[in-house]
Order: sequence, then C-alpha cells, then structure tokens
Amino acid sequence: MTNKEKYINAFVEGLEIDASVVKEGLEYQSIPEWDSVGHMGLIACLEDAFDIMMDTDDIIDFSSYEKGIEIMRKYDIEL
Amino acid sequence: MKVIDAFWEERNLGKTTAEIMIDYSDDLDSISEELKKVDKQYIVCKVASGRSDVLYYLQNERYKYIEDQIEFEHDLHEVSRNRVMQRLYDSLDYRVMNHEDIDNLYEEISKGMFDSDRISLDPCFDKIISANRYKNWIRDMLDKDAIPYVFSYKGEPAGFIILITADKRTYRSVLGGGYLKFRKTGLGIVVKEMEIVKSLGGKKVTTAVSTNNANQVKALIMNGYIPSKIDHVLIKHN
Repeated sequence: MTNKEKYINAFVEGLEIDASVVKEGLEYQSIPEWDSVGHMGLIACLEDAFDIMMDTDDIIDFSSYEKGIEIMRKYDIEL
Repeated sequence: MKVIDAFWEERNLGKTTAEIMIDYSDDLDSISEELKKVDKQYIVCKVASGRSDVLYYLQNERYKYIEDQIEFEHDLHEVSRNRVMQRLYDSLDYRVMNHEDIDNLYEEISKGMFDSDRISLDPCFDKIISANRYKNWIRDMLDKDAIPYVFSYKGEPAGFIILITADKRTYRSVLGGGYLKFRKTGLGIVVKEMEIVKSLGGKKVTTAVSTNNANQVKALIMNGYIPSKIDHVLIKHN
C-alpha cells in the first residue's frame, strides 16, 4: 500500500466511511461520522498505519484531510 | 404529572411558559384534563419514554416533537480509555472559575456554543435568544452556589462545566461546553466531571443531554456513563 492509500484507509476505518468521501474538502464535523468520537478512531488508525505517536497539538490541529497531510509531514510521512 | 409555571422563561424567551412532566403512571384522561387548564404562550412537555399513547395525543393537539432528553449517571468507577483518548484527557487541566473566566464564558456562549439546544433549533426563537437564556441560567445558578469549572489546554481556556449538589454525595453536571477555538479538535470526548466529583468527596454524578447532540451522547457513553431515564420533549406555541 502506498502512503496515500494507507492515509485514506485510516479515514475509512477510523471514521467508518466510504473511500469516495475521503478527499480534499473533508473536514471535522463536515460529516456526522467525524465528531470527537470519530476523531479518536481516525487518529488511532493513523498512528497504527504509520507506526507513529502524534503530539496532542497535532491531534487537536488535525481538522481536515488537507491539514492532516501537512501534519503527517512532521512525522516524515509524505503523501 | 407536574405542571410548572416557568416564570423565568418570560425573561429569557419573552413568552409565558409552562413545563409539564408526564411520567409512566399518569393516565391519559387526567393528562388531557390538566393540559386544558394550561394557559401559556409556550408549553414544554417532557414525556417518559414508552408512553406512545401520550405522544399520539400530544401530536394530535398540535404539539411538536423537538428532542429526547437522556438522563445519565456515573458511579465514579475507573474508566478505561483508549490511548488517544487518554492523551487528550491528560492534556486538560481544570480549576474553579474566577470572575474573568465567567465573563469569558459569556462571550463564548455568544459565539454559538449551544446551537443544538431546542431554543436555537426552534424556528419561533433564535440563536441569540438561546444564548441569552443560557447566560441568564448560569447567572441564576451561580447565585445559588453552583460551582463553575474551566478546562484549559496548555493554559488556554478550552471549555467548562457547572456542578450543583444538594447533599455533597450526588453532583449534577448541569451544563458544559467547548470553547470555539477548541470545538473541532476532539477535545469534546474528554469528560472530567467524575474526577472532579471524586475530588470533592462525591459518590455519583448525573447529567442530561439532548439527542440533538449525538456527539455528546456518544462521549458520555465512552466515558462510562449509563442512561437512567429517557424523556421525549414536545413543545407547543400558542
């Protein structure tokens, strides 16, 4: 799996949504599944997929698909 | 059945208001008789779940369903959180509010903190009325020894709760919310009332939440709260 595929899959599994929804423009609270509970699932899936542990600042800042890509770069993950 | 003259709502909403509690044991004929006597501009009926007969009756009488209110309680047992939740939990500090915190809270309420509230969602009212109502409610509670707490993330205010108690054993979390800057951050999953109540020597904490706030319903369950009662809420504008 490419990094991009792993990233998208983390959204699919963490938020329990379809891959078709995972794209630019997807934001926290833009869909019912991405609430604080979904956010926990998403972050956990990203950490497992990329074997990282995110800072709380980054968990809190992770507000959209695009912002997430930017944050993942801090962990040397290019998407 | 209880009929309460909610006189404080005339200040908050600009309408004479009655709140009516209907429980499992109230018979429909009595309910109908009592409701006919209620002469208010705005009526809020809270009906114990399972009373479909009352729901049918009220909807025939032009009451409209607006939400369910779920009562939750927690016996302060240790909560097992997943690693992400625990990290966020540990990142929030709390303390009793000072005057500056309370002023800041009122400003935050004006930014739309309670947009899922039944007053905000009612087309006969609006978000401004809802916000002012909450501020009045908070002022009333603080005048009666309620304890307001502010939660901070790295020194920055991120949210609040207000606790009340009659016996220092059972505390009630009557109100809480996240501040605008931190509303789309996942911090809404953090529920610290149990830790606070334990530190106060309490044995139980209760709260209520609207089903229009599904996220908060989920957050409470994930933090070990158990539902104890469900009421259907119907309203009528005369």
